[in-house]
Formats: sequence, structure tokens, C-alpha cells
Amino acid sequence: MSLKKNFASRLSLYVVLFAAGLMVVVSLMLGIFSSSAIRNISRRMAESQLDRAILEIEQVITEVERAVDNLDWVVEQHLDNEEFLYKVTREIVAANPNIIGSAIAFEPGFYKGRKYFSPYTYIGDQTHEIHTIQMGNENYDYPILDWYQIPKLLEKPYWSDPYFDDGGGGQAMSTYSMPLRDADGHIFGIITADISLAWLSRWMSGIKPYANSYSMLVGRNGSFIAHPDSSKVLNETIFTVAMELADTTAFDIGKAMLAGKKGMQRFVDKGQDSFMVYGPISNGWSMGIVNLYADIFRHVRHFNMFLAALLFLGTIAMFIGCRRTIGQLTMPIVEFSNSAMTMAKGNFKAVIPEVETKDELMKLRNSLSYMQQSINEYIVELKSTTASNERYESELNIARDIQMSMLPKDFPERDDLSLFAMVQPAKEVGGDLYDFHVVGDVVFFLVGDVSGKGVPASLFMAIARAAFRFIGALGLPMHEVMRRVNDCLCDGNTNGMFVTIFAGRLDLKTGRLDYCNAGHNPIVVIGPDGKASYLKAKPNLAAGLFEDFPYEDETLQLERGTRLVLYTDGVTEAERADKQQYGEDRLLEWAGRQNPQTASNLVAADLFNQVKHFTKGADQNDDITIMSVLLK
Amino acid sequence: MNVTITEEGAKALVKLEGRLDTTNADQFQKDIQPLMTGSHAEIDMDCSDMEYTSSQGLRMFLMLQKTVSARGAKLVLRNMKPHVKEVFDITGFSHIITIL
Amino acid sequence: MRRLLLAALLLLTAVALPAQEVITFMPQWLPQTQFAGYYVALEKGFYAEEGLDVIVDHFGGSSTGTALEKIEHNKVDIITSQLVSVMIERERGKRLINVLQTSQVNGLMCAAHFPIDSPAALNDTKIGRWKVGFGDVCDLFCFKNGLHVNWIPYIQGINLYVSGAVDALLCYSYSEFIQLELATGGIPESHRIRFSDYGLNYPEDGLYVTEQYYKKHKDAVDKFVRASRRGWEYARTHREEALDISMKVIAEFNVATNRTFQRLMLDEILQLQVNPVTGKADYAPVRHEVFEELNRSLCEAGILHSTLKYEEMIR
Repeated sequence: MSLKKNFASRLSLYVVLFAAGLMVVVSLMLGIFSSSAIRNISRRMAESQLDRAILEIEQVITEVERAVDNLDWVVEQHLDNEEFLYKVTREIVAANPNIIGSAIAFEPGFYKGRKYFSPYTYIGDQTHEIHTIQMGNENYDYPILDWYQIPKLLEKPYWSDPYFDDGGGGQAMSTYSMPLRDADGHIFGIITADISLAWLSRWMSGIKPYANSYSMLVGRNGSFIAHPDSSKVLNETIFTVAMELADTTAFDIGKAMLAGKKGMQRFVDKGQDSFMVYGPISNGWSMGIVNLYADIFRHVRHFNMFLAALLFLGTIAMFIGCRRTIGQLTMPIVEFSNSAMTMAKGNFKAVIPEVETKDELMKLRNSLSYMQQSINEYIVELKSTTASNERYESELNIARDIQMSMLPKDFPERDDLSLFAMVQPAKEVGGDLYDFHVVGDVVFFLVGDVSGKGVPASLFMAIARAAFRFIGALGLPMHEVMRRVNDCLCDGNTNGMFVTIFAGRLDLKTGRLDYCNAGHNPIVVIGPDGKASYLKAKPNLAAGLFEDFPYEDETLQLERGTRLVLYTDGVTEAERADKQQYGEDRLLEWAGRQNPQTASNLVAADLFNQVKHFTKGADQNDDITIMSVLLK
Repeated sequence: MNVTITEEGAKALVKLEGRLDTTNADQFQKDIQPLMTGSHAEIDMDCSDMEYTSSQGLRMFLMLQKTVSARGAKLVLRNMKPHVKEVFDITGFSHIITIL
Repeated sequence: MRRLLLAALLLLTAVALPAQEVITFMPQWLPQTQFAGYYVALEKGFYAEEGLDVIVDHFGGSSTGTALEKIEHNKVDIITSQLVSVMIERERGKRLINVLQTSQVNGLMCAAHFPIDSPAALNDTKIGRWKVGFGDVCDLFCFKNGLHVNWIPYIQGINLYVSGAVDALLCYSYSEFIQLELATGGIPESHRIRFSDYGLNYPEDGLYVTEQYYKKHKDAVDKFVRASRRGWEYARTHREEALDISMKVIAEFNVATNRTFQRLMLDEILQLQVNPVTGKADYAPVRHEVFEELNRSLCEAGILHSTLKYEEMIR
């Protein structure tokens, strides 16, 4: 099931992603806070362990120091008793389990003029037997050895840095040296106590706050007094190790330790994130404990992995749960969609599933239902509208037939007259009209144009036509005809409808034309010579506007062969797509081209075609009426 | 047809622009409705930018004229283009409506 | 005991292969990379290729006897030593000949607990110094600058310095000075001087044989010198390998040291072998005028009392 196609899956995924993101952020923050807390706790723990260890080692050191301190007077009092001096060293060793050797070394020449005199008791490295010897000789020139020379030069007790003693002990050791002074304060020798470094290393290896922690003792010269890697003891200094680690922090730690500082420093020990706590020991040495963060965070890591697994499984479970719940919740949407599809296919009676909840789904269902209802109602309405439109249309067609039938079609073709007229409404029914009737040798004709178009115009036209039929037949003067028609049209014309009319009466015998123009377009007169011009007629006023308007008529004497072309503005105002009108100039030009002999029906048709050609199929926006009257 | 009506006291200044033909005659009727129902003592129409009027349009002017006259007010059409003026002349509307 | 056994074994080998000439070689100090070139020549078989059976005897440098004493008693055939020491010995009648000058630059330094802004800063101070010698160039320095120094003899001077028991320490740039740096984390630039910077750039280590040995074994000595040079040249281009070889020798003698220190020492030793005149490690013999100037200075300082013949000493 594609996520793109399944809303429930997608929604579930978003919800789960958001929730999982939130959980991860919370866990991370928890992790950060807890790890910093754990860090602090572990540091404090390591520090307190260091403090305890330093305290312990200082106790040992103090014991060793006490064993030889304040023996000046004992030695001085028994200078004459060599045996006693040997015995003193032996007792120091015997009485102190931490002391593996002790010497009383005298200044060259001080003891009975001897160059070297130094009673020395030590415990053999292998045999663990106590030996007592005199250790000074040409090959063991003790006065220039550190353990003798340095306290002498410094004139104070001195803990030597570790060394491998060739003189007797034959093992790695550190020596506590105490200057012996006579009553005047002059140094006449050094009394010493040796401690084994092997013992120190063993003891130190027990100081382990964490599984992989290790501890070290560093002398003032940076060399290791104790270190878990025994090859480093005596051989390496903290700086050679730092150089190998290539970590400048380790170098700084070394400096801080040699400076007798107490502190804590994070560094990278053999590629592992570690920290070291260090602090000075009373004798000038420094102790350090290295702890690996990996050790400290081991449990945390296990917990984190468990948490991560839990998060992962929880997320999956949540996704499944969400998917199912949302799927159930959104099931109606699927059903609505199916219903909508059924409707789209044309079945507007499709059943829309019910929903129980009163939420958005209910709203959606109501909308859908409302839509269905509306569509159905609309369809019913549409059906009835369509029916009524059809009826209306057919009625209009009938109206058109009636209107057209009102206009006479029996055009007279006589020796002295060729008359033809045509009307082309813009809509089914129009407001243009023409009429003619021949009584004896007199022909009465007219062309009219009702303002507006369509049904209202057509009705007004019908009235106008009827009025003319009746009044025109009375044989009244033209102005009287027009006056009466006008009065007739004004009667009850509240809508301001009006009609422009050109009406004429032509005596076919004499060629006398009486005409009256009621606001109509000037008609075209084409002489027998083919010359065309507009007839200048008094405009008077369109009919139907003001009762009792004093219309005036005019008279024109026509020669035989003269043609009158009557038209409505549907001709001159016929428009092309570019809004250019056919216009009076083109009409006059057209008229100038007409053969005076041509039958009126052909002339009318030609003008109509000209206009149609000009508009190039653009919608006809007004009724077109053309009448040609030729006096033969 | 674009109709802009500005009122100057009791006088309404009207600016007519474009063509008035069958297609927008109804709209024009609505546009000038405030002039029909209003109480302006004088309506001054600037027709300098009017391009054309159909017979339907003429009827609107006529209706306006009748209404305005009925309430004793004055309607004046000004600066009409010659070919537009001609329509008013031909139909005789120039007799009924004051065209300056 | 082991050393005895080793000597006995070597002696037996020498007897078993009479075709090879046996040479006993003694460096002037305990095993360290100061002598890496010789260890390399031995290990890589450069001596063997020359038909030499070289025994390296490291008895020297201990508190009980020096290489100079050993060669005087004909206990060893070839030693390394310093030019000044050999010149002093020669006046005492010990006629040694320089057959190879490895050092080209003097490596003697003085490190103090205070800034040494001028030689006078060292006046009336306690300065640690080797019990067994090596400090003659410093004596020239003190003489030239009219310094009075309270000398404190030492075998291992690091703790003497670190504990503050002395004010300053004579040391070699390739040895004690590196130890001091590794013990303290660094000696400030201002707290140390190189005597070579004070017009005392006298070459140090070289190979020496007695006159009579040279007369008898000229050919073998030449071969030893050739193979030794090869050893040094190899060490220069294969430092880690030279270091490995040296560390093996050091381990045999149970010397308290570490690889870092030995590497730094090797680097410095090889640096001191670069001739400042030519810019190359060309093992150029001590120049005549340098020899004479040194002779004169030593006489002025009362360390020598006669003019030594360059030709007799330098080959």
C-alpha cells in the first residue's frame, strides 16, 4: 500500500514521526543531563579515591620518615661504636616492614679519617634475608650519588626519585635521606631508608575506581615511581608518555603534576576518552588516577541501547495502532468518495453512508448530501427550464412567422414600377418593418425602425405596421398620415419606445413623390444616370414620442429610371469584428455602381450581400431592412 | 459605455465615454439611474468621448429627458462628436434634447 | 656474569675464525643512540663485510673506568672520545690518533634555574658537572669570561637539577638536556646556552686508536672507519631501524631509558654530525686552524701546557 495513495498510512506516519522525534529529543536531553551528572559524580568519586590513596601513601611515607628522623644524636653519641651503627641500620630495617634498606653514610674523611664509611642494611631482593655491609668504596662513590649529595646540598630531608641501586639492594627503589648534623648544625652524614618500588606498584595497582582505571606515581623528575606498565618505571617520564600520546593535554597534566598541583583533566589516553585526577604527595611526588569514560558510561550505554530498542519497537507499535485507528476513523471518507464517484458517473441517487459522529465527517456527509439534493433539484429545474425554453423558442418561431407574414410579400413588378423589400431580424423577431400598397397608379411605401430589438420592438412594430395599414389607406396627406400614426403610437407608450419611419407616396404617372420622414435615415436616390445621393429630408421626429407633433411632408419630382433605396440603420451600422461600420459612404459608393435597369429584388439582395460580405460573418447586431423602389 | 457622475451641489456633471449600443444599453440604464431618481436641478453631460449610440441608446436619453423635465430640471448634452450628433439630428431628438 | 659469558663467547668465536681480524671497540658511555652508527654497522654486517670481527665493549661510562683508561691499558682497540679529552690525554703521554671525526658541532650546554642573559649570570653558582670529565669546553668558557663556579660532580645530574640542589647543570644537547626536558616538561629558551654559540664550537666525538695499534693494524682501522661511516649513513636514512637496533643493545645492558628519549638523542646526534661549513654530514677531519685555536685556548686556560702537533693526532 503506497503512502502516497493511503491517507491513513500517511497521517499515521506523520503522527509517528512527530512523536518519535519528540521522544528522541527528550531522550537526548535526558541523556545529556544524566551524562553530565554522571560525569560529575564519577569525577568526585575518583577524586575522593585519590585523596584516600594519597592519605594512605602519606601514612607509609610518614612512617618511613619517622623511622630515621631525629636519629642525629643517637648516631653522634655512638660514633666510636661501629657495631652500634651497623645495628642501628639493621634495626631500622627490621622494625619497619616498608623499609627494605637503611644506611648511615658519613662524609668522606669524617669517620675516623676514612674516605668512605657507610654501614648499610638491606633485604635481598630474591632471598629476603637481611644483610648488613659497609657499602662505600671506590666503585660505589656514594658522596656524589643523588640520595647523598642532594639532601646534603639542600641541607634538608630528601626523597630521591626512583633509581636502580647497584650498591647493595640491587633493586628499584626510592630513598628517604635525612642529613645528620652535629651540635653545630654541620652535616656530617646522611641517614637513609629505602622503600621498594615493586611494593609501591603492587599497592598502587589496587587503586581502581573503575574496571580499566589505573594509577601512577610520578617523581619530581617526571619519571614513574609506580605504573601498571612496569617497563615504564625508571625508564619513562610522564612527558615521554605524553609525547607518544601526542596529546598536549597530557603534557599539561605532566607539568601540573610536577608543579605539585591538584586537579582533574580530561584527555585522550591511547585513543580513549579519559580523565585523570591527580594530586601531590607530601614528599614531592604526585599521584594520578586515570579513568576511562567508557567504563563510567558502560551501564549508561547499556541503558541507552535498551531505551533505543524500546523507542524503536514503541514507534512501530504506535504506527500500527495509529494506522488502524485512523483507518477506522477515515473509513467514511473512503465511502463518501465512492458515493461521490458513483454520483460523478451519473447516478445521483447514490446512497451516502451514515456517520455516527457529530464532527467534521458529519459536516462532510451533510455537505455531500446537500450537494446531492441540490444536484437533483437542479436537474428537475433544468428539465423544466429546458422544456420551457423549448416552448419559448417554438413560440418565438411562431411569432417570427407571424411577424414575417405581416410584411407583404407580393412585390409589384409593373411596367412603371419595380419594388422589392426584405427584412433580416437580428433575433427571432425584430423591430424593423416595411410596407407598401399600390392603389391605382399610386404606390404607398414605408420603412421603419423601432428602437431596440426583440419581442418589445416586434410588438411595437406590429402596432406601427397596423397603424400605417389603416391610416395609410385613407389617402390623407403624408404629414397627416404621419401625425396620426404618431398619435396612435404615443397612446399608452409609457416605455418611451419610438419608431423612425420614412414613408412615401409615389404617383407612378407623374413621378411626383410626397414623403414624410420621422427621424429616419436619409434614403438614397439613384438617378437614371446612375448618380446616387442622399435625400435631404426634414428629420421631424421619430414617431411615438410626442403627441401632436407637427410633422411636415416634402415633395420631390422623380424622373423615370430613378430608384429609391430605403434602409434601416442595420445597414449603415453593420459592424465588422474591428468595430468598423459599413457606413453611409460605402452605401453611397455601392449605390453609384447600380445599373438603373436592374430589378429591385436583385438590387436589394446585392446590397444585403454587400453588407454581409463587409461584416465577414460577425454577429448581426441590428435588424436589417432594405427596400428598393424603381420608377420605370 | 463608461459613465462617471460627479456631483457639484445640485448640479450633476456626467462624463460619457465609449459606445452605447444594444449590448450595454441595459447597463447604461442602470448607470444613469441615480440621475433619474435623484433631485439634481441640472444634469450636464459631457459627450466628447462618446463614440456611438444606437436607437436603444437614444431611447435612454429620451427617458432621461422626460424624467428630468417632469421634475422641472434641466438636461444638457455637450461636445457631441459630429457623427453622434447626426444620429440625434436624423431622428429628430435634437428637437427634444438640448445639445450644445 | 652474563657479560663475562658474552665476552668468553666472543673470544671463542674469535678463536674459531682466525681469518677475521678481531677488533674490540669501546664507546665512551653506556649504550645509547649516541653510538647508533656503530650498532647499525655491526647489526647490518658492515664490519663483517670488511672482514672484521668487532666486539663492542660497553664497560666504559660506568662509574669505574673510562674508555680512555681502557685503551691506555690496551684493553680495547678502538674507542670513541672527545677531541679535547684526547688532547689532554696526549699531553699526559697517551698518544691517540683521530681516525674519524663524527661530531662537527659542539653539543655542550648549560641549563639553569634562571635566565642566562649573559655569561656573568653563571658566576658564583653551583653547577653540576660529570664526575668523569667532558666539561673542558665549559672550563674554557669560564676562563674566557672570568667566572668562578662551584662545581658539583655527578654521575646522573637530572635529579640534582630538578631537586634544586644545583643552580645549573652542564649537559649535552643530545643527552642530559633532553632528559631535563623530559623530566620537567621543558626548559625555557632563556634558561639555557649552547657553548658553540659563544665561539667554542669545537667538534667532539671521534674514533681514536693508539699510535702503535694504528701502525700495526692500519688496514683494519681503515676498514673499521669505512664500515662505521656506512653505519652512520645508514642510521641517518633509516632512523627508526637504527633506533630499533640501538634499543636492542640498550635492553641487553639494562639501561634505564626509553625510546622517546633515544629517538630525540639520535636526531640531535645526527644533527651535530652536519658540518656547518658544507651543510653535509661529511665526517670532515678537524680543520688545522680549529685544532690550533683549541690548542691555544686550552693553553691559555691552563688546561694544556704545550703545543700539540696536528699531523700527529689527526689522520
